[in-house]
Amino acid sequence: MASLESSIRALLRHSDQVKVILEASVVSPAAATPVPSSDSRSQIDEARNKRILAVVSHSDGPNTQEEGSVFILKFKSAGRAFGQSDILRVYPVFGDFSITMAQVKRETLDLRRGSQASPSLLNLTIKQGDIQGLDPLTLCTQQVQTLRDVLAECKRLKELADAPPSSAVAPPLTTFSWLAPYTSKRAPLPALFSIPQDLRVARKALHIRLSTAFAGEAGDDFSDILRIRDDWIRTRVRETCSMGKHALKVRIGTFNVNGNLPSQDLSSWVGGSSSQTPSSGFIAPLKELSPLSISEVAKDPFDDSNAPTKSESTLGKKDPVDTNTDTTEDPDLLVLGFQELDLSTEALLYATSTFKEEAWCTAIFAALGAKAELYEKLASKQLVGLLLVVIVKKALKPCFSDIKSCVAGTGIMGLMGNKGGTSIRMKFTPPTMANALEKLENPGSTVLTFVNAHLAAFDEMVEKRNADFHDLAKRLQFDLGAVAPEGGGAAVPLTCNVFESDVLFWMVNLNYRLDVPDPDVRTILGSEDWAEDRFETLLRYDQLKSAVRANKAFDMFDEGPITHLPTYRFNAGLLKDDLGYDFKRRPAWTDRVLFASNAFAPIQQLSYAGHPQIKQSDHRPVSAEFTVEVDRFDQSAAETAADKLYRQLHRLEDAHEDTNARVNLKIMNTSVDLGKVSYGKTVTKQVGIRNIGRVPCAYRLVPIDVESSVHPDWLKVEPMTALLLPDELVYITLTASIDNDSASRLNIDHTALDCTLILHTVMGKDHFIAVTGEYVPTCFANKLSRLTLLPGPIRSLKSPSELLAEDRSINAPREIMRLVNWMMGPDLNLENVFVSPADPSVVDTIRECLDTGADFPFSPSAKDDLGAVPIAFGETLLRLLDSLPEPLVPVALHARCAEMASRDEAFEMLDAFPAVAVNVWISVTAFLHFVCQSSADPEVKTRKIAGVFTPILLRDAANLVSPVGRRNFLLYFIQS
Amino acid sequence: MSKQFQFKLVLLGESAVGKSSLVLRFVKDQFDDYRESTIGAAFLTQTVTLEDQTVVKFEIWDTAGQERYKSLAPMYYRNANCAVVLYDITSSATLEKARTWIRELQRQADPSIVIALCGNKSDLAARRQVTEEEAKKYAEEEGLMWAETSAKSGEGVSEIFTAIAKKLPLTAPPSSSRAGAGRAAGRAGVDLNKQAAAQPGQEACNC
Repeated sequence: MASLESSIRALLRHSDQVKVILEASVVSPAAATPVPSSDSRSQIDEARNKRILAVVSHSDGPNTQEEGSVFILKFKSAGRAFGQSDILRVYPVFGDFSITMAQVKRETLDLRRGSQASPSLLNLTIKQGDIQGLDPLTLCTQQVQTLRDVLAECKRLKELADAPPSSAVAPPLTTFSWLAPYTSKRAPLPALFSIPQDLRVARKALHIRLSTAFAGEAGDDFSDILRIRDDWIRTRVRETCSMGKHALKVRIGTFNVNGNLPSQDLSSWVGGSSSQTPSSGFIAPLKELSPLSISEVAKDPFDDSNAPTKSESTLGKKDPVDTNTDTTEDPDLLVLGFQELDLSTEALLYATSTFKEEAWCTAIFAALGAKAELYEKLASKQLVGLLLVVIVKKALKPCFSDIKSCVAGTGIMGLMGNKGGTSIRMKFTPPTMANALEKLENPGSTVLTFVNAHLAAFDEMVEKRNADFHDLAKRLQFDLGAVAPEGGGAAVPLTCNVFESDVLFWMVNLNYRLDVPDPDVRTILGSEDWAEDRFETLLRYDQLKSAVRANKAFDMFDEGPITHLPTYRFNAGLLKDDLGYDFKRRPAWTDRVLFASNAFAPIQQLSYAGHPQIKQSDHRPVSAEFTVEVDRFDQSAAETAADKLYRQLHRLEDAHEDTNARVNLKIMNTSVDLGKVSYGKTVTKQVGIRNIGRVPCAYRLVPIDVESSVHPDWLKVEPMTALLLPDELVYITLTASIDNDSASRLNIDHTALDCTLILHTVMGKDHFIAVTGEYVPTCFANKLSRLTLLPGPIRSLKSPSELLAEDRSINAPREIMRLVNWMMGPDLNLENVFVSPADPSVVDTIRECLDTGADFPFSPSAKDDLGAVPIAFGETLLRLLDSLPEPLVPVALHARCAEMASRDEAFEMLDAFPAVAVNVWISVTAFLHFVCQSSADPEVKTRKIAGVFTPILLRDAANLVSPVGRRNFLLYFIQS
Repeated sequence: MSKQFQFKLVLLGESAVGKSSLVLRFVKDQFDDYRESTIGAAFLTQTVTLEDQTVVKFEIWDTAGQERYKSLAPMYYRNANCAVVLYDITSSATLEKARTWIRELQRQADPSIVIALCGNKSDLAARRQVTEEEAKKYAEEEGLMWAETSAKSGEGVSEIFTAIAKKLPLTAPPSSSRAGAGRAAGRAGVDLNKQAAAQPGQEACNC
């Protein structure tokens, strides 16, 4: 009984109480005589007729009137799954409500089973004539005593309802409105399960998706509350229902084959045996599979009906997906995208031949070698030269369902298939674990979508590429088949786009190029000077990365770090450079693998590689491996949980007319003192917020007006929006941290760190949270010209009036000179300076000494075998130079610096520098020269130091000036 | 059908003069002896029916009186059609503060704003520091409405709001009946009406 009661309580909201529970069975009006359970009827019928009657009461608070209702529930499935019950009917106790009891008339003697001991059967009839469409119901039960309790409780509630309103007790807030969430079908929650939320929405923080609001202008509270509610339910459903993760391993490949047929071994691309990881050869290690699984799979690979059992027996024990991310294991899914499969004009017009697809698929399976046995093709989709192939481990094939595909052309006339995309969408349901404690009755699935796209070519077509992306995003639509609406009516076709997915991969010949002069690209790629940071340098000029930064295209995608050579354009003939790149085309990373997923299916990238040994095309193929952590959950349990959570939120959207009474948040501390806040350190404080109202309530932080931001740039506030159930307490975390931008402003303003946060209760009042703090100035993030006017350490500066007069400024900032002088001290191990990572606490100590003027607590002559202290000094110097609001070499001079062709020219260039910059430049480069020359390998050291210092001393945020020229300018000063 | 108008009203004044209490009395006819200081701004509504059956709905912003939140006040009085500036008759300093608020409103708020100066806590007449004559004279000079009220006893409260309702330019088209239009529409309707009310002369009908 206890479990029955608790399961019913689980269906109810916190404000509603179960008073009495009665087990009964339904009596059809035709057969007035109920059939007792001892009858010969089957157990199934008995279960079907079984009902639970529950008397439930509700009260808004201690001083408000109680209301009651009779709930009739039915178990969804036979057995003890109490959680899975449905509320069939609700009879509110008021007005014409009645409940009557009657002895069941026995027309025949029941002699079958000890009729003497046979318990008396009672019929009860419930009526509520005030509500149309709510028919009377007759049930029969053997629980006589409980039935008496039911009647007594109903009588009590009826009397309460009938009583004239008394002055002592406040009338209920809304008569019987508390029943709404039980009686109405769930309000249209967006398809929580059938179609995942669009990733472009899901990947944006909730508070960014809310309406525009500011102090005194609430915005669209009603639509905000729906967004907050849906997000809350979605997150909590997964939290409560997730039964662990399943790691799905996916290998993605993209290859522009330039119209060629396969002529080379593709094993490094498809099988992971690239030159970088020679250990994982493509010849399958058979011992990884149990003999059982192979024989079973081989026997009947297409028999889906047996498959679940098979996957249970084979996958549970040894399958990599259950033992988490082991990079040497084979991928579960192999998804390969080809571009320019067919360059002929006929293909453009007819595009019917599958000859090329077959040829490439054969080549893929050949490349898999012995492992080919383990795989089979699951799906493919072609559009002219674009082909997307999904290959799956045979053992996992039954886990994939609802496979859909679509295409869209963006080529000639914006429609032809010479450019465009093909896409495949599928549901993945994790295999049952062999050691699973309970079997999921209705396992939930995760939607995976793969897009193979080929965007507009040529360097200057970047805008067209961005447009192609948005065009494809719109036009790639899957037809999910016709769906009949729940309430009946004509079936409507249901479509969804590629972003309506839990996991999305784009493998693309994006054709995005590098916005850097051609000779620079080749120099950086080819010259040994650039060996250390060539990719990092070049990728700053990558058009795809700029488009993402500027939110022009692909801005919701992630991409792993690129550590392979550009994959385009190679020339087999004579017109090529030393690396094999075509002279006429600027080398670029045109072939990329991008990914995005929602919070329920985090993706981890394991590898990202080019395959230069496959030389048959003008592009090189690219592969990338991922682990997708897929949720294991039960679909029915998730739906039940969503229903229950939805009920908890009843009246959330209900209250704006009567603000004070119901929506009420209490801010536990309306003023927050951060204390001293200094550069490079974070201060964290918490503000407690409790819902002291009677209904669920949401808050969001709003700015003071449209132009302002919610909080100053040095402060982070988390969470910016949240939903609180009655009596719930949440904490907002305020984190103050001063970066270079805010420090450069605060150092001059000397303002106190004061601000007021405006916390808007959705559909309620605004609360103010006053934040105060004291800024501790630093020598970091000051202009050079200001540092040279400081009369002493920056902390001792009381007011700007103490700054030195312009004509009495010092030659160079004493902070920079102190660092350089210390490092020039005798017997220091400078071998690892600027190369090895520094101890952050030592860096903090050094900076503190610069700010206060205190002596460094380190002796330069101290024995320091690893050079840890000098490394920290080097790091401090780097960071100090990097924190300058203007780079040491003024941006306006970069172009001229980059053109200097000799050391003499470079030294002459210094005449154009501001005086203070010359002094610092000379001191720093002289020191760097010293470090390089005293190194064991001066050449390597010089290269490394140039790589580290060029982006700092000649910082070029806009990436306008040749990286090679800027670097050469620095080299004139530090090379011997 | 009676005409309905909607106006934004803001309450300003020194901390602890009784702004929130005055609203509580007006909106709910209640009074708490101990009210926590408002740290923020609360939004409430109340309607007043005039003799000619015209219904005036006030959207009231009750603001924080503490000095440290003064910079936020303009956010709440922008677009306001009327303002009630409160002082406490037992403290002359609060009248000084009220003068500051009135000067600020005259300078920065909508030029057509109707301002009422209100001396609250009239039940504490024994401790009076501000005479009726002094306040009245100032109000006349500045062209303000003036009254004394007691949120505690209720004296003068509904009268001042009714007086404001009468003084507001009831020339804007009545807000269309939105009953049954659903809450979402009702919410959007509030915004439309706000604009309409802010520019009484303009045709704001969006039908």
